[in-house]
Amino acid sequence: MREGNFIFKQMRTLLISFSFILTIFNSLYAEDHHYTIEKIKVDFSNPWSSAFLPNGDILVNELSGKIKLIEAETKKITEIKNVPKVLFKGQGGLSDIILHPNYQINKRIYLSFSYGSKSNNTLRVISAELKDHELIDKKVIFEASPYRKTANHYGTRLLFLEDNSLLITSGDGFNYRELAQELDNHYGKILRVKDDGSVPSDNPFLGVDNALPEIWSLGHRNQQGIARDSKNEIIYSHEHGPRGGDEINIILPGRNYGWPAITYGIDYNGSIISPFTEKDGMEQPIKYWVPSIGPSDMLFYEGQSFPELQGSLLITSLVPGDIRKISFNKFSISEEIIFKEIKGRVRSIKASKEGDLIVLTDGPKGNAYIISK
Amino acid sequence: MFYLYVPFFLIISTILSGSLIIIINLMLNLIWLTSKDFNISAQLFFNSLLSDLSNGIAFFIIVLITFFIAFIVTAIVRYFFPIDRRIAYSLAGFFGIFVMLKLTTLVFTGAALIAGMRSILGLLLLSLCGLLGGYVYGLLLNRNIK
Repeated sequence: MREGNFIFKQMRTLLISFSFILTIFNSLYAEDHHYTIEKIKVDFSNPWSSAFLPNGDILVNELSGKIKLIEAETKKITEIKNVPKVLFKGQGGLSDIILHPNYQINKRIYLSFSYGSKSNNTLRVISAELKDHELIDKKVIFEASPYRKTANHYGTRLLFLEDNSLLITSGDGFNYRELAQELDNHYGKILRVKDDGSVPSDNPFLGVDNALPEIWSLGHRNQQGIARDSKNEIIYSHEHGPRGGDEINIILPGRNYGWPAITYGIDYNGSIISPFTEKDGMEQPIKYWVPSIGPSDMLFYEGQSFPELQGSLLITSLVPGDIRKISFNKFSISEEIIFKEIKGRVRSIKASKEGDLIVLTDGPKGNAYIISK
Repeated sequence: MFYLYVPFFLIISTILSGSLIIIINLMLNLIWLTSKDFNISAQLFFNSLLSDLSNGIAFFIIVLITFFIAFIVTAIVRYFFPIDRRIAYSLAGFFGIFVMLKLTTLVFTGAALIAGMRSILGLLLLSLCGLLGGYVYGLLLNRNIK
C-alpha cells in the first residue's frame, strides 16, 4: 500500500514538473514569434487567392467559382453574388482577385479565370463593381488568344503598376510551350493592359509585325506569382518549372525569359526539354529551384506589422508546402522558411495595407489563416 | 520451357519501343531548338540521349505494362481468330501505345506528358514505335513456336 502511494506521488511530481517545463517552453516559443495565427473556422473549396478590402474584410476566391467575404470583426462568411461563370477543370477556375488602386472611389475589383469548355477555353480577366455583396457592371477587359484545348497552365496572376496599368500572367497552356517564344499569341507571356483593357501606348511590342500589342515579356511557363517593389519599381515574377527549374525573375519590358529554349528543369517523363540553360538575348532567373518547390503565389512585403519581413519576397509553395522569405543582400539571395505552423500545400499569400497577412492552403477543404501581431 | 522466354520477349519489345519513343521525342525537341539558332553537336545529342534513357525508367515500366495488357488481349483474340502473330502483335503494339498516350492526356486534362505526341505526326510516329515493338514480339514468338 505504502509502495503504491510512493509510486503515485512520484508520478504526480513528474507530471507537474513536466507540465511546468512545457509551459515555460511554450511561453518562450510564443514570445519568440510575436505573432498570432488565426484559422478561419470554415473550409474553403480550393481557395486560390484573396484580397483585403480597405475596411479589413477579406475576399477569398475559390477555384470552383465562388467568392466569399470574411468579415474582419466577426469572421462571418458571406458569399458574393453574380460571380461570372468559370471553367472549373484541371488547373482552371476562378483564380486571382485584386482591387483597383482607386477602389475607395470606384469600388472595382478585377478577376482572372478560365473560361469556355474543357476542350476549348482561355484565360479571361474582367472588372466589376462590388456593391452590397454583389458584382455589378461586369466588363471583360482581356481574353488570351488563341483558345486552348488543355485545362492547364493559365498563369492568371494580376498586378497593378504605378500608372494603374495591369500586368496579367498568362501561362503556356502546357501543350503549347514552344509558342511562349513567339509574339503572335498570349501563351507564356506577361501582358500589360490599361485598367479598361485597352493597350498602353508604351508597350514594348506595340507596332512590331505579327506581335500582339499586350505583350510585356515572353518566354514564361506558368507564372503564379507576381509582385512589385514599389519603392524601387522592380517587378518580380516566379514560375513553375517542369521537374525542377522553378524560377524567380525580375521582369523588364520586352525581355525574353527563355522558356522552353533554356531551362533548369526536365520534362515530367524524365526527358530533356532543352539541354541549354543560357543563351544571349534570354534572361537568367535571379533564383531557381531544383527540385521544384511549386511556387504558387508571391508578395513583396512593404507592410508595417512585420518589420523583419520588409523588403523581402514572401513565396508560398505547394511542394513540400511552406512559406518562404527571400531576402536580398548586396551579393546574395537568402531563403528561409517562416510561419512553420501552417502545414500543407500553401496556395496563396496576401498582405493588408497595414501588413497583416492572409495565407490560403490548397485543396477541396482548404483553409484561410490570418497572421497578425 | 518456351513460356519462360515470353517475358524475355516482352522486355525486348518494351526496350525497343521505349527507346525509339525517347529518341523521337528528343529529336523533335532538338529540331525545334535548331530552328531557334541553337547549335546541336553530335556530342550534345548523345549526352542528351543518354540522360533521357537513364531518366526514363518509369516510362519503360509504363510501356511494359501497356504491352503486357495489349499482348494478353491479343493472345485471347488470336485464340478465336488465329491471324499471323506478326500482324496481330504489331497492331496490338500500335494501338497499345496510342491508347496509353491518349489516356495520359485524359488523366491530365489535355496535357501531353510525352511532348512528342502533341502533333498528329508525332502521335503517329510514337505509335509506330509501338508497332515495331509488337512486330518484334510476334516475330520472336513465331521463331520459337514449333
